[in-house]
Amino acid sequence: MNFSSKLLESGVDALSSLPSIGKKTALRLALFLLKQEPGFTEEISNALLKMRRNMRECQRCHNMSDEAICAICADRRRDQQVICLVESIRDIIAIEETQQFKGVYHVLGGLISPIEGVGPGDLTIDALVERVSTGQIQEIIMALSPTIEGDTTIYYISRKLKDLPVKISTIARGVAFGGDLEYADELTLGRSILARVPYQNQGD
Amino acid sequence: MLLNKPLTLKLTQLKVTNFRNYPYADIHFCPRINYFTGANGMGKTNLLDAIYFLCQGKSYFQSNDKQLLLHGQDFLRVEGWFEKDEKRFPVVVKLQTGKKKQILRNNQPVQRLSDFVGELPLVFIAPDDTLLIREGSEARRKFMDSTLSQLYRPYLDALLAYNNLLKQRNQLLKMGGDNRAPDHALLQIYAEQMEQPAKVLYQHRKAFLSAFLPVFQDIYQAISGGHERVQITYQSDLNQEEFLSGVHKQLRKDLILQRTCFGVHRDDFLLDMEDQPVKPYGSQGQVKSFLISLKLAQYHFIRQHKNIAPVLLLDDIFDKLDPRRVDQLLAFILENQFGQIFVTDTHEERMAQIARQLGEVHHAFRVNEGSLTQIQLV
Repeated sequence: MNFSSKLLESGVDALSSLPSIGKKTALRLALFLLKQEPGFTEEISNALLKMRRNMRECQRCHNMSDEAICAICADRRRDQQVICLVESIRDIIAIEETQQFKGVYHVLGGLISPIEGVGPGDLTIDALVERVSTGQIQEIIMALSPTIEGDTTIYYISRKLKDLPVKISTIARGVAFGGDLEYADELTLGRSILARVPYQNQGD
Repeated sequence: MLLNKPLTLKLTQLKVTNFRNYPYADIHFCPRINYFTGANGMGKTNLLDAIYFLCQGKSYFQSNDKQLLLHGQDFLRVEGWFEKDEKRFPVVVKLQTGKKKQILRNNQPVQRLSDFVGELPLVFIAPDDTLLIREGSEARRKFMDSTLSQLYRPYLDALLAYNNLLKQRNQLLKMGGDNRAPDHALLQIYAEQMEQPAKVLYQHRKAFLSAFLPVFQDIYQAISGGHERVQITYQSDLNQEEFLSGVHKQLRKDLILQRTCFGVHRDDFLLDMEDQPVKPYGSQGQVKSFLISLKLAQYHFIRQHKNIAPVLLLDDIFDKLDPRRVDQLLAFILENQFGQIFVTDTHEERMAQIARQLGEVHHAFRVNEGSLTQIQLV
C-alpha cells in the first residue's frame, strides 16, 4: 500500500499489528479516527494505556484483576469451596455468560503439551494444589477442552490432588443442546452413547 | 470367497488437467475392464494415480502434492464421474499452488479428508510396492493400519489418539536432554493414557490377522498353483507383556534413547514363505505373487465389509510372472467378480492375449507421452 503521508502509514502499521486486522481494515480504522474529533482518539488511547498499565493478575485464581484479588474471588456471595478449572480467561467469560456457575475459578494458563513446549511447570498447577491443600475446597470442576491435551492435563492434575480430600468432576461432553442428532459428528455421538446418563426429569 | 452380489463402484469418465505428464485428457471408461498399453515413462501409471488421487484425495506415490503438477503449471484438476448403487455423481479434486486442496463430492465441498476416504473404495496393486521390500516394519504396519482404518472407525480413532500421545511422550523424553529431567509423573500419565488405545489396536490387529490369514493363503495358493507355504505372523511387544508394565520396565532405556521403546508402534507383520522371510529368499515371481495376494485379500475384506466392490488398479503386474502364474491369476480374476478393473502393461501383445483370455467387455487405450488413443486389441 502506498501512502502519501508518513503519519498515516505508521498509524496503519500500528493498527495492523493487532491480530485479525489486515492492512485494509487498519486503513479504514485509521481514516475513521481521523474523521472524528481528536478527543475521541485520545479517549481510546487513554483507556488502552490505563488498561495495560493497571491490569493485574489475581493472586488467588490468576484471572485478570483490577486489584490484588479479582472481583469474582472477592465476591462474598459466591461459593468459595467450588473451583472451576479453566485454560484461559476467555473461558471464564464464556462460563460467566451462562450464569450457571456460582463458585470461583482457577486459570491454568494453557494445557500440557511437550510438542508445544508446555510442561506442567509452565502452568499454575502448583498454585492450584496449594489452594486445595488449605482444606477449604470441596470440589474442582475440570472445564478444559475435550482434546487429548486436555485429557492429559486433567489426568495429571487429578494425580497431583489424589491425596487431598477434594471431589473432582469434569464438565459433560456430548451432543450440543438444541442440535440435531443427525448432524452430530460421529465421534461425539459415539461417545455420547457410551457415556450415556440415567434419565432425570427436569422437574426433579 | 464371494458373498451375495455386492454393489459395484464404477468410474465412467475421467477428465484430468495438468496432472503429472497429462496436460489434458478426457476419457470414457468401460464399466468392466480397461486396458492401457504403452512404453515405460509414457504415463500409464500416472493415469492410475490420477484415479487413486480422485478416490483417496492423495497420490499413491507422491506424499508432496506439488509433485503432481505438470511441469511449469500452478494448478491441476481431476474430475471423475462415478456410478454407485444406480446413482451417478461427480467428484472433483482441485489443487492450486498456495491454496488448500479442494475436494468436491457431488458439487459439495468435502470438509474433512477422513470423512471422504472410504466412500470410493479402491485397491491399487503396483509392482514395486514397498511393503515387502523395505527393511523397516513401517510399510507393513501402514498396510494393516490403512486396511483396518477403512473397515473400523474406532480403530482409526484409537490409532490417531495413540500416535498423538506417543508423539507427546517422545517429545517429553527429548526435553530431558537439556539438563533437566523430564517429569516422571507426566511420562507415567502418557503411558496410562496410551494403554487403552494400545489395547484396541493390539486386539484389532490380532483378530484381523487371524481372519485375514486364511483368505490370504487361499488366494496365494490359487494364483501360485499351491506349492509354497506362506505365513504372516503378528509380532508385538504386547504378545509378551501387558502394556503398562512393559512401558515401566523400559523407562530407563526410554530416558537414554529419548523415545518410547515399548508399545504397538513397534509391531510388525512377518511375511514368510517356507519358514523364511519372503524378502530376500523368495524369487521375483514369488515376491510378486505374495504382494498381489496381500492386496487381493485386502480387496476381499473391503468388499465384504462395505458390501461394494472396490475399483481395482493393476499396474504392470503381469510382468515377471511366468505364464502359468499369469493363467492362474487370470482364472482367479474371472472366478471372483472384481467389479471395475484398470490394467496397464507395456506389451500390447500380452495385453491382447490377456483380454482374449478374460473375454470380458473392455476398452483399450494406447498411452503415448501424456495422451491417449482408444484402440482395438487384436
